[in-house]
Amino acid sequence: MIRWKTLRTRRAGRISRRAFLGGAGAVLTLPVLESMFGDKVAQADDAFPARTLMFYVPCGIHMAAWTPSATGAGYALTPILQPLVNVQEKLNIISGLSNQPAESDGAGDHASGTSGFLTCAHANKSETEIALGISMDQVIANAIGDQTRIPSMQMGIDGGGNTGGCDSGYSCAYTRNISWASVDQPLSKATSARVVFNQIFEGADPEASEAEKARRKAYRLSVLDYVNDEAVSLQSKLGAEDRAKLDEYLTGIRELEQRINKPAPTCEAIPEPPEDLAYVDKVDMMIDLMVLAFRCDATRVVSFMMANAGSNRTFSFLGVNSGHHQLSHHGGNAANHANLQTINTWEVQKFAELLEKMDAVTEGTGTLLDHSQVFFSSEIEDGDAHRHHNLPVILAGGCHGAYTTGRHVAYAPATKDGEPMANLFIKMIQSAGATDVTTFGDDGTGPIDGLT
Amino acid sequence: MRKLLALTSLVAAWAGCTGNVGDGGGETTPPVTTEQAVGAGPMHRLNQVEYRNTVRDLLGTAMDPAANFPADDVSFGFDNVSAVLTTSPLQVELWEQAARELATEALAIPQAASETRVEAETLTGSVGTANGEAWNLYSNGEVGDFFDLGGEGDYRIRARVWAQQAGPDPAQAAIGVDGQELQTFDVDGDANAPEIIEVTTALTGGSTQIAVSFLNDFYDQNGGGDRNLYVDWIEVEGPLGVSGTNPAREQIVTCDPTEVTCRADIFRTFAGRAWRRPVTEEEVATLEGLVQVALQEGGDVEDGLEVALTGILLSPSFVFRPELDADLNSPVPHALTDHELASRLSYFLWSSMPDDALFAAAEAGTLHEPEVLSAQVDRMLADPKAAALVDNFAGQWLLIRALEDHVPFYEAFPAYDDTLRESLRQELELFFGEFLKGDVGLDQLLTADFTFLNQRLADHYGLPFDGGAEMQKVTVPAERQGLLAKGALLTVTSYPDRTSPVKRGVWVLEQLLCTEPPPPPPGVEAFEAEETPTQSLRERLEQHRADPACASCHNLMDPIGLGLENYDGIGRWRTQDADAFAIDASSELSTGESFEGGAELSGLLTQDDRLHHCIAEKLFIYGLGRDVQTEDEHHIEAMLSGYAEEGYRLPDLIKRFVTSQPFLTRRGVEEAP
Repeated sequence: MIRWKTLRTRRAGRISRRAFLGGAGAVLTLPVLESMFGDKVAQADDAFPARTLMFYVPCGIHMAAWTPSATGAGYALTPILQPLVNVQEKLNIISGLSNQPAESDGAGDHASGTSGFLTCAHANKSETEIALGISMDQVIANAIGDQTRIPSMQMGIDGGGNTGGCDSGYSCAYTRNISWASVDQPLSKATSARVVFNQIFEGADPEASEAEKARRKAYRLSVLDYVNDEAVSLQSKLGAEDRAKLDEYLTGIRELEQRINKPAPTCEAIPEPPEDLAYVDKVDMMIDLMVLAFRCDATRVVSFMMANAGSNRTFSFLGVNSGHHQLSHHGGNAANHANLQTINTWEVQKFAELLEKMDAVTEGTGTLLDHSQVFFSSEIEDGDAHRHHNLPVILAGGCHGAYTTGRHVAYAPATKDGEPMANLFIKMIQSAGATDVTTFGDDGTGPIDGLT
Repeated sequence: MRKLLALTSLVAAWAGCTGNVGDGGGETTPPVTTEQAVGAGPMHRLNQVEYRNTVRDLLGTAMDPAANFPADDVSFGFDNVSAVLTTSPLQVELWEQAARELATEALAIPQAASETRVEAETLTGSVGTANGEAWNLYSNGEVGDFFDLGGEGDYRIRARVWAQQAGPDPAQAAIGVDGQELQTFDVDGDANAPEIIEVTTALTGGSTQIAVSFLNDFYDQNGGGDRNLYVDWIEVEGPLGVSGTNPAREQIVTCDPTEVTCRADIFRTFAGRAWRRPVTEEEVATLEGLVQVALQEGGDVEDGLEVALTGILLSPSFVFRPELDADLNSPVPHALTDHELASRLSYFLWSSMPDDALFAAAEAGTLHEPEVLSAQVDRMLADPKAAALVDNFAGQWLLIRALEDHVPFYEAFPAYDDTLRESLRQELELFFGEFLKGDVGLDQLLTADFTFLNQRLADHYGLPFDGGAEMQKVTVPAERQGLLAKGALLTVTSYPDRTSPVKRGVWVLEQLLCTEPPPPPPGVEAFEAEETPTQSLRERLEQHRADPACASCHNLMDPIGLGLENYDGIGRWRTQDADAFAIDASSELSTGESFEGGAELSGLLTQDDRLHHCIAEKLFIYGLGRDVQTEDEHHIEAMLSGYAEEGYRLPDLIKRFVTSQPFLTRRGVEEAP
């Protein structure tokens, strides 16, 4: 019998032997460690690559409690931004950016905004004919992704199970994905901590001998080879539309093959996350896994969706007993505003925890956060007005000196003709290493000024 | 609007039902008749539900790898529409992992429970020395060994121990696994009275370290004695309760797999079932090639079988449902193979693969015959697997699945809880189930005088009931009769804090009349929520119809929903709303017919010509995983011809559908030159 390192889906809660030998403690927190770049703890800072992380929250932000009144350095944190107090010096709050392509045709701002979130492209409004554009994280992945085992990772919390349609005639693909490989290829996100864990530690198994691991790898590659031939053979018997369906399949096979052929991570194994995590535990676990993915250099590009577009989650553990989406259509009601502020503050708190964990990982004389650019925003500004300009943005991390942090940077005018979000993305793409990219999306004109 | 186009072509088709559609393309291709012409769609990929059911039926597995698959896209109201079932790289990655794990589980040679005893004096403890028949732990420490256990399960660990006693307390021992103490014991006996200590625990199996430790060493230098623990043997038995069989393996490995001819049989049979079609000898030989690869890599035949089965489960022939055209360039529809037909039938009625009886009919080449097909439909609808039609067809058409995510505001509806939601769900599922049985016709969908209640639901509706928590079929008064009075539907077509006549109107138009209203124009303001309402909801909605820009569409939607205003946001009957405005449920359809309340509305809708045509369309979309195209219109009409006279029974409609040309035939999609 082949001993795969399996997702033992029925073993929830049991400490695996491997976990015990590793000596790690609780499942949900990771020890502070250096980055796993072999044993080169005392490397120079520029030996550490630039990492990019895009963090999405749905339904907009209650701006009255978000936007700092002062600009420049030394601005006072507003109530929603308060959780960032320990990392305030390492981030910028950015106001006034506009994402005009993300505006919807008629109803459907959540779908148009979410699909435009990282693409700055105008989605074709249809349930069946998807047309959008490549997302900025995939532009980065195309440039640097071959340097890591996994070119980029997409994570999220909600798979999505909307019955009867997702948003006003827009395809569900627009509401459930922020990473797009091309004009019509959404990159589905992993919503199980187990799945993400297996992606990072694929091929690593301290219990298996080198010979056994080599055999397993050979078996997997031979199966991929086999199904590749099957698909190519089947394609020759099908019409154009069906051949295109198999092209999607073949792309997945090829990418998996490439990944298997790259060396397994040398990271120390951590306990396998249990299946069926409660919501808050899952969010925490996903944040830990993002940091781990960077530390292990499994990937340098991550996108994360806290929820799908228009999410109506009830945050009862925060004392909010109504759905998020419903609240965001606040109609000017003060109680709704207060509840939205509670939700938004919690979202920022989770983001702050992510940043603090990144800042706790030493890399040379700096930290993982110093070598990264971490973007937080939502698909719209105010949830009731559904505005796609003056968007709420946090950009954290110095990214090897690409950004001067600790400021509130306000772009003017803060209208829909204001500075395009796409220009911020061009700057980020260049900072990640794709220095020859000068355009992006439907309205990008060049890298944004004012952040360096 | 699509509906308008369909009506136009329908008129054209009626005018000449023996006429021709299209000109056939190439020079020698014959024209396609209206009777022959059918729409087309792309290849189908198994969706999440279908994958789950298929591996359940193929392998009998309890694993559910599909639980982590990316969510399926929804189109035309259903999640099994081929055109939008895309395949992301993540999906392929998860299929590959699932294929490996399912193959391993299916072929696992069951580990019978075994018992292993190790004599402690042959081991080396962390402290102490061998002493005759036992190991003497003369200080705190442990003696143990690595046991090669079978699979996951419960194991019984026993040890025979005694102590040299000293001091006030008895000796204390513990049994531990992988360094973790499971249980401690007081060992009272001495060499003359050894005792067996034991613990039963769940283990993951494989190589496991099991040890006995001594916890409370005692030594009194002034002659008070020396306490020591002696361990005679350690024994492990398990996994307990394992029957030692793997039914999946028994079904697949029916001969000696070390023989190549046996392996060929195994692959031919298993791939035949997994791929839902006969397998060629060339395909069998290629699978044998995978076994050879495994052997070359230093694996054994068992490894080879697993690799081959993994390939079968990852193959596009498994995860997709390919249907072939002999001539890719011809637009002329042709019959499906009986195997392709069997798959269409089983995925329609069971959301799963064909069973042996269906495969047999396909192998006999008789499945496409109308009487055989009808008999199969009867058989399949009577099978428990037909619950898939309730879960997946009704689940989406009647929005039953939407209950899961619909969260009413607690402040507005404190009465709504999980028990109520569960009861509402069961009521609507059981209600639909009666139509599926065929005892009542779909002409009574909106007016049937029965429903299903338990005590909770009866109280919710304010109806007398003398049963308990179990659902029972009961007769109900007019205000609770028919689909539009079902609490589940009324709830999911409301906002979390109030009713929405617009949403309810839209649902009826889209799902019962197939007349989709256009979306709102850009720049429409959302409702201003007044702190203290000065008008009833009905009066506020009048704004829609006062403004001519809004009236054209809202005159279609609002009247229907206003007629249902007696049902609140969680389906309860009311005569005044939450702000104490009296409910006025009188209304008028756009056709001019006036009515008051849900029962009269239901009566009018039942007479609407569009109702049964629309139900047939929904069944069509779900059953074929594609939209109704111009060429299909003729066949929808044919499906309905005579159906009324036979009583509007859903099983009949299903049989008419599966014996129609769109179900029995296919054609390629013409490519642009």
